[in-house]
Amino acid sequence: MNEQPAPRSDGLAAAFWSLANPGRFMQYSAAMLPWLAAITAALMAYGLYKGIFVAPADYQQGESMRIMYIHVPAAWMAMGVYSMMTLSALGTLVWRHPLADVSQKAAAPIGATFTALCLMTGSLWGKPTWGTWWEWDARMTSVLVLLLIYFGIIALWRAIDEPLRAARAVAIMTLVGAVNLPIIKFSVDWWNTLHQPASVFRRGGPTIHPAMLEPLLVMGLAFALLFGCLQIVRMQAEIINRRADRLALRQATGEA
Amino acid sequence: MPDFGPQAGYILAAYGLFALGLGVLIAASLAARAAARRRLARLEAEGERR
Repeated sequence: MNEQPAPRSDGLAAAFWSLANPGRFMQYSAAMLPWLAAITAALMAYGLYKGIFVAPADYQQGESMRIMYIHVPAAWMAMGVYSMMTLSALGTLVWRHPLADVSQKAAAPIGATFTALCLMTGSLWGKPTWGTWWEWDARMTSVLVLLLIYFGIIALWRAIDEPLRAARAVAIMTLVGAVNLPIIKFSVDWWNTLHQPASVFRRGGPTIHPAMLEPLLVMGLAFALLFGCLQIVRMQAEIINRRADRLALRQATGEA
Repeated sequence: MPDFGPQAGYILAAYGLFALGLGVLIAASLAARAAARRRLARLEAEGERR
C-alpha cells in the first residue's frame, strides 16, 4: 500500500485518487457496509426462495437444475473476482493506486472460495445430469486451472514478507493468469465439451425461461453484493494490519 | 420442503456446501478484521504506556 498517491487535478482522476486514501476508505466503507449487508441478505433470501420453492423444474434435467441457482452465480463470481484482481494488478503496476494491492490481496481468498464452490456444486450437478462427477473437458479443466492460480496468488502473498515486493510479484502473476479468463469463457465454443454452452450472456439473448432467469439474476446480484461486503471487510482488516505493522516497527526502533 | 425426488441428495449436498463455504468465508473475514483491530489497539495501548 503506497501511502502517498501522486496528486492529480483533473476531474475523474481526482475522484479516483481522492477515494484511494486509506483513511477515507475506512470512513466511507464503515458507513456503507451495514446497508450493503442488509440488501445482500434480502436479495439472497429472495433468490433462494424463488430458486428452491417457486421456479419450475427443468423438462429434461428435472429438479437437479435447482443447483444452477448457486453454481452459475459462483462461476460468474469466480471469473468476475479475477477480472477485478486483474484491474487491481494494473492499478498496482501502472497507476500505483494506494489501495490496489490491498484490494488484490483481499479478493484472492474470496475468488478462490467462489471457484471451489463452482467446481463442487458443478460436480454435484454433473453426476445426476451427465452420469459423471468430473470430466477433463475444456471448461471444467480451465476452471480448475483458475482455482490453482488463485491458490498460487495466495501462496505468493504469504511467501514474500515485504508488502511492496509482494504486491508487484502478485500483480505480474495475476496479469499472466488473466489469459485463462477468455479460455474459460469461450472453451465451450472453441472445443467440444460436455459442459453446455452459454445460456444467459450470449448473442441473441438468454435461452432460459423467464421463470428460471429471474431467480438466477437475483442470485447473481446477491453474490456480487456479497463479494462487495466481504471485500470491504477484508480490505479493512488489511489496512488495520498494515497500520499495526508500521506502529510495531516504530515502537521497535524507538521512534515517537 | 419441496419434494426433489431421487435428485434430492445432490441438491441438498450442493446447497449445504454453498452454506458451509460462504459461512466459513464470512466468519473468517470477520474474525480477521476483529483480530487486526485487537492487535492495533494492543499496540496503541503499549505505545501510550511508554
